[in-house]
Amino acid sequence: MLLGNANVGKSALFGALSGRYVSVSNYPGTTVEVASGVVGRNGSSRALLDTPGIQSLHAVSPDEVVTRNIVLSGDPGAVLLVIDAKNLQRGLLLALEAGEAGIPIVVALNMADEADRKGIEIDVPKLSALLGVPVVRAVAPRREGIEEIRTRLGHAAPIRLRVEYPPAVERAVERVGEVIGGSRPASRLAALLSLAGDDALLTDLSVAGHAEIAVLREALGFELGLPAASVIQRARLEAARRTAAEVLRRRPTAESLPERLARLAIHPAWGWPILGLVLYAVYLFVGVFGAGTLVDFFEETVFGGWINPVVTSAVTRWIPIPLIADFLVGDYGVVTMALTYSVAIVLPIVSTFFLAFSLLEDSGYLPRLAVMLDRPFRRMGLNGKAVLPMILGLGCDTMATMTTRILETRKERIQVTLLLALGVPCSAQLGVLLGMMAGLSTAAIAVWAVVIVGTMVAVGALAARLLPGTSSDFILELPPLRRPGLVNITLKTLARVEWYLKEVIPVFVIGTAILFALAGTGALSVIQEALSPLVVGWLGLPVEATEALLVGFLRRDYGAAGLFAMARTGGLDFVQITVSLVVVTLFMPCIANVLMIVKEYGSRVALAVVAVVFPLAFLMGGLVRLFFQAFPGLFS
Amino acid sequence: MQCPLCSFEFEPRSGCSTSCPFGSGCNLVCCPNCGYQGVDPERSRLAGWVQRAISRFTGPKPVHATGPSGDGGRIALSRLDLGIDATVVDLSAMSPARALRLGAFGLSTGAHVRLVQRRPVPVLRIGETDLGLESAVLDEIQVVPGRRETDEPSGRAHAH
Repeated sequence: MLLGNANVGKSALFGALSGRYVSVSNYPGTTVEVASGVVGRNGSSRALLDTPGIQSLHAVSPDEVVTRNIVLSGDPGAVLLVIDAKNLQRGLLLALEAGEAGIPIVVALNMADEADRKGIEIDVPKLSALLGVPVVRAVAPRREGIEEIRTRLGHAAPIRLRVEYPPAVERAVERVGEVIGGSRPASRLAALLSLAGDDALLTDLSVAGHAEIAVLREALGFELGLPAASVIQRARLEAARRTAAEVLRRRPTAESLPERLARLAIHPAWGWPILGLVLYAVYLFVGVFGAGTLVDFFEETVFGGWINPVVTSAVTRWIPIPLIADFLVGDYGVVTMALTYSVAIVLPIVSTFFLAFSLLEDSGYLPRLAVMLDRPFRRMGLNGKAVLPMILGLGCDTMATMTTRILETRKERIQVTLLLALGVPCSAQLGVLLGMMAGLSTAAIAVWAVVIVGTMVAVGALAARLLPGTSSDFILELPPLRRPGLVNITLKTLARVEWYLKEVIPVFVIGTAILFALAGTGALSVIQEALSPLVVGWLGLPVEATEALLVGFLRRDYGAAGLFAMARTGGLDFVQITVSLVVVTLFMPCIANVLMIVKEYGSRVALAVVAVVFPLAFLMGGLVRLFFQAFPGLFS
Repeated sequence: MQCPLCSFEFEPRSGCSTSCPFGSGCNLVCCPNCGYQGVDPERSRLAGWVQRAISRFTGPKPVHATGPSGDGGRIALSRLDLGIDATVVDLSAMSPARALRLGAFGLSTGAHVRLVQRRPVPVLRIGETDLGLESAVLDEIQVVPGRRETDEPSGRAHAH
């Protein structure tokens, strides 16, 4: 298995070793589930697990629990401990902790090229001799050191270097070991973690004796005059520091351009114009180029000029049954509606967004965004760390809901899940929204932005007060800014486009089939009439918008695409476009998102989220319409 | 604080009533002795802002590595000037959970740190790790300006 701190290149190493692509990013929290692959060849292959990055084996967040439990299982196989070569001392801290488990380890000093550039030289043979395990220098994207790691995995050994704790700690470890069972695998590590206060560990190991261990911990703290956790941590840090000092030499280097940019990106003054430039560049690429130029080409030329006429003509000629022909190329046809919407309108937009997002991810800018947005997020009862899942939500809300695991408390996780479902548009929807905005005045766009941000802040702040539980500290590591790798960006964008095609097109087809059935049986008119007070009376939209809102229940980008198509053909005026924008932005993202919330937090939370989101979307949409009615000449 | 009505001294942090869902953001405090509802200036954003603005001119200045310092040279990290190396000497004001979390990044007593910036959030450099932190955490970290080596017996490593 791969083990290491967050953002040390585990996923890149996993890809290089196994040949299997997993999402690689320049920010912590990319891996929230264990991925598996195969390493080796010629009959000597073995399974390889990529685990979520951890700060230490004292698990705080659920993704850290996953990793800690694999280590404590006693049978993780050979462990490839990945260390950022630029940050040896911190990597050694984890190595010494993992060493307490007695598991066989090989150390990979990854990102060695970056260490070179920073003037950091590590005596690899000496480090290997001190630790008593193979140590390999590696640069995963260049496949440097990969073959050596493959070979050395067969020579993995337990770390020989042991931290010398005060005698009182050693006595307490022995006694806690007896309580949790001395024959248990990795019992020394489990005892140290328990003494340091990891109570959840005992529950995970199904060990009784919480009270006895708490007494031992208290007594130890009393004897040492400091909390046991502090003494253990301090001893380990000191050992890591001394070991690093023995093998590490540093040459003075000048500040590089990426280092200067990294500093400016979080500068109290320069950080904001940089943030504005980044957002504007994304808007130009996705909103103007993707949603404008590319959508025009695909919708009008590719589908409108080539595909639809050819397919319609072929279907009319070869399929004599009107019902089937209509299902393929009619008003609610699979080709003329589902494929046109999903491929001609949404695909170009999401592709450009995925590309822009991959660039941002790999550059290391996202954690800096978290720093810049910490204060605004505090107004929603969260901290800057919540920016990461929210930004990921701009890619896909469903995946982002899973990424809320990087947040430390359940309260924060549910808060962010609610806000993701409420007002963070996914890439597909964001692109369509940007396209709809192109026809609006700046003032109308400002109304939309104020309503969405205001609703998010109000709901977030209210949820922070009403949800039970505590919030966590804002402690976030800032990785260095890096030039994104072309191969990784391409692979990542293609992987996301593939995901989109696989997941979204079937939903669009199903939605179209439902609309086709409803229209064919006359039920669509009945529903439109039934919803007329809400859609026409309250929101002030044309009755045809009901179709878009209906399919919006399946996926809100599908609903947005329908409204986008209406707006492009002049079916909506600017007030109706703004109202549509508000309603569809505040809709539930999609059925998959609801199912993910059920999976992560249970059906009660999912139901509560749905019960908040839908009524609020319609309420805010209606209020915006009333606002425009009250000030008719102000925004035209 | 002291109750303006009955002069009873009490800890105002608990707020009016913990059962109130709006309690955490409320500036009002209730005297546990007589129930009088008063204002805690320390909880007011506006008062806090004015207080900070005043203290910029009249309060203690940030300490330089070679400058004056109090208790054996020990100061809160929040008072350290930007870009100056310091050695962590005390984390006892910090909760064990928070200390443990920061310890995983290498922040423990004896660690060498440097404050890189204060706003929009403080950024602390520990070795090669840059950490964004909330301001309240800095107040709990006591440092001595300059790099000092620890000479404590614990923390040695030995090979088995």
